[in-house]
Amino acid sequence: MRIIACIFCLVISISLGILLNQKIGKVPPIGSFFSPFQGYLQNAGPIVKQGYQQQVISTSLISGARIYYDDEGIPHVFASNDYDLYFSQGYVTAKDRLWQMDFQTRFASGRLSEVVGTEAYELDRYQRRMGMVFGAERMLEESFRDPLSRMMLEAYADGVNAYIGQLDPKNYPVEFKILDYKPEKWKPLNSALLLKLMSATLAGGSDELYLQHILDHYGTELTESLFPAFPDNRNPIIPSGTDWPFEALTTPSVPGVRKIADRRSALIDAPSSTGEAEDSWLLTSKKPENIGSNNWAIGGKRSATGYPILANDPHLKMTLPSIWYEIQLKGTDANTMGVSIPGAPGIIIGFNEQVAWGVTNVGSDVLDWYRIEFQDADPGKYYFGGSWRDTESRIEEIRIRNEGTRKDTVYYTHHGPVSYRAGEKPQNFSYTNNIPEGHALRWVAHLPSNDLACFYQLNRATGYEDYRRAIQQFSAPAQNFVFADRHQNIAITPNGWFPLKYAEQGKFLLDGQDPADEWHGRIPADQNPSVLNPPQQFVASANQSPVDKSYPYYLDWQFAPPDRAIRIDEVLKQLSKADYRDLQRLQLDSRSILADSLLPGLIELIGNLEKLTSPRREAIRRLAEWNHHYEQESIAASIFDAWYDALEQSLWSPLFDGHKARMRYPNRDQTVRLLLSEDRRRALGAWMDLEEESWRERVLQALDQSLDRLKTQLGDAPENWSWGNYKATEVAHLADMPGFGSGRLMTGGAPKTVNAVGSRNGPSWRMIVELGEHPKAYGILPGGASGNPGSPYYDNQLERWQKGELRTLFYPDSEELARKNSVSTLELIRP
Amino acid sequence: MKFFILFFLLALVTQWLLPWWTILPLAFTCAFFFRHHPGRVFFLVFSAVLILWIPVGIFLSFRNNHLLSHKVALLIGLPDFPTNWLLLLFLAPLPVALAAGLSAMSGRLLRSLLF
Repeated sequence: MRIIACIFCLVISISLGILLNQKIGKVPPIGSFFSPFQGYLQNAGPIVKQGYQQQVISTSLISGARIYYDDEGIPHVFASNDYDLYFSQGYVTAKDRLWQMDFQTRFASGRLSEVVGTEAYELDRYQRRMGMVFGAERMLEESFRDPLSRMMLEAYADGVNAYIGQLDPKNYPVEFKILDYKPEKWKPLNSALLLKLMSATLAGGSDELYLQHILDHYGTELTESLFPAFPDNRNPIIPSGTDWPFEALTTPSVPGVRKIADRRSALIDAPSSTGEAEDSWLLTSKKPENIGSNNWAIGGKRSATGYPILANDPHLKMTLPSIWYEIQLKGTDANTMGVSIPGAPGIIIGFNEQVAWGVTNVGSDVLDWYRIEFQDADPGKYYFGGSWRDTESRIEEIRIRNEGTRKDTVYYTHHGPVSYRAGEKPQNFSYTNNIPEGHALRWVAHLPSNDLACFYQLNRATGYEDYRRAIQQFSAPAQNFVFADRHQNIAITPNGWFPLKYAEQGKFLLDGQDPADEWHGRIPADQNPSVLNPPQQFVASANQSPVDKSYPYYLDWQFAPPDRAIRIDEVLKQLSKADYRDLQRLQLDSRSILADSLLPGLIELIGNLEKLTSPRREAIRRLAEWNHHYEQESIAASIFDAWYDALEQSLWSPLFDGHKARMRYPNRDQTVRLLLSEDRRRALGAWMDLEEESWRERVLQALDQSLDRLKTQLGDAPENWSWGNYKATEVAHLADMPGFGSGRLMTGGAPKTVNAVGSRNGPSWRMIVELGEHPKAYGILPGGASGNPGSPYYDNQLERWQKGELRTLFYPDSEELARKNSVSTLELIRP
Repeated sequence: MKFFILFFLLALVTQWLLPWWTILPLAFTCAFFFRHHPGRVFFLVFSAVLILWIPVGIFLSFRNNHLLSHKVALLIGLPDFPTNWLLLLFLAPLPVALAAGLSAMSGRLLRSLLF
């Protein structure tokens, strides 16, 4: 009897021990995770660390560095040479953000399955097949040719590894404990991968497959009418009338047989299946209007200080830990501050004693798909320019937790990787919706580049000439680099590696056999659009079209709608004697230009309100009284927003939904034009067999739908329909871990307004810099400095961000000052 | 009482220095050398683990203003109320205490089998 009891207890105890020591599903290993001696409580550091001093010894340092943390947890690095400077940046970034760096690198390089298992397999495969690692390797190779960039990358990696090297398992960031894995050695390639991830986020989209489907189905006339050759150009970044001070290259002409109409017939018979099931009924994919940004600079004549002021707020997916890491880097020839990408050396958006700069995305077409003809289905050879060429195969090994390794072969043509060959595209995996099967990917992110050199030089720039030199080193993702210096210059340059294309090249799928369809080199870097000190005394960008039709090169047929840009210009034009508070007010501006231009016409279209049902009449009354600001309390803003969404759907769905191949809706300017112009409705009505009266009916039905939607989501009482409630902003944890995000945040602003706070995306950093003898800078993150959910600095800026407040950035010019104001210090010592 | 104090002190040291699961063989070994009733051994070890883990947890959590405990409570699905960290700190050690208690019992039973 006793023997049975003994064995029973032993077996249960050992089994429990084993069970509690491993991750099961999403449950962390209970034993180690909840042990106060090793588990998450070891990450729950003391709140007050006043006067805390730490010394770390590393033999790789040249002479050592001192880091002073201010009362916001921001590190101020003081070093006497560049190596130690970037070593320190790596060290302190890892100290605050190691898990984020690791996780984002894994995401970018298709290595998440190693941590989370088979559920991430398709995602990993997708990243490999998009050539993310291939692109990062090419970038690294090119960067290593430049001794400075190489030093930056290696010093940074050495710093990260010095931090990892002295970590005990009990000190691993808490997410490693939850997901039950270990940090690994940092490689310079990881920094390159994080820059590629930015390219994927900002310049990795494409819709030529959808447009091709539209062209194939509807033909040239409708396609050209609803998807015209030129973007909504009301307010280009480079003011109209600016001279182009260069002799342009000959632009490639549209190949004779490549007129759109022919392209249709050429491709419609093409054997390339685009991978959609024959009998499927497909909805359009809507491009989210959330990823974008604002920046501007005003000249000294408009400012109170007499010096330029610069502002920038990049809109990205907002996460905790924050996607940016704020830091000051003071070396021998640099005293620069701003935000960096956790995992890459240098400052991306910031300022130094003399200059300030910021970026917004340029949505130009830098990604194209080329139809590939393989020789008898043999992926080893493909046809190009009259002969067969060899592909190169790259074997991707995807390791999967608890399973082993799966191998995946990707074939590369000279255009780029054939992401999915016929029949290879996974079903029900939304990342690949827009990828045509049997096509090769030509993407600027695969080109060799040395983008870090741009930031190395910008961080040390002393004036306009330095800025021009620096940004010409930058490739991708193309950015509108705004600039201001204390010598009274302001400038903006939509900048990056832009392919030289014939008009509308890459709007539809391209022919991978035909040399005429290839990119024709690049637009010379010094011929990228740019303007210095325009008469209007300000420069601004909000992802809109960079240029008007006078620019000699083709950039794209579409850009983000110019609404935010129009509003920014409207406000900046009024400014005189402005200080940072005026620009802060503009960053928080929630005026909707769409409502300005659309709402009066819509109400007119509806006509006699007396005949309407009372909910419709009530809604219209609210809209008519609305000030067109997306304020947090506004009920009309919710109604308008829901109505506009329903309108797009009701206008375009009959044309573009429900086909066996996926299509897309036209851009917003087309929707507005249709709603405001009777002629336009008549023309389109002819295609769709619609009378004028039925347009009105659709508009009203859309209103009903929007009211229904608000009722379903927020209840019957309109008092609960406030914009803040409807939008439901949340800053979630990077891996969506419950409890680690912000919860519901009430804010004003909307993706279509300057203050572009959406439900998940928004201003991921707000910065304003007043230049002068010593610059005064202000900034705020929707989060904080630390990546540790147990640190008060994890989200201590969030509430101020939500209220629209800014922090005065502490920017000491001497080490003495930094020390005096420090809360804790870290000394990196060479033994 | 001697058994309790000995186990508690050894556990305190080993938990600081070694992985959490070493508490299982430790409980087994300690129990082997004492002649208490097996039920009593289970109870003593079970409570020793709780008395070791819970106060340390509470101390660490207070020092951190419960910032992390509160979030972790939400992470594992406990309801969102201000003192959910306390619930977490009391619940989380139970499975470990159970495993250690059973381990001790088997050590004690082995002894009575051998001698």
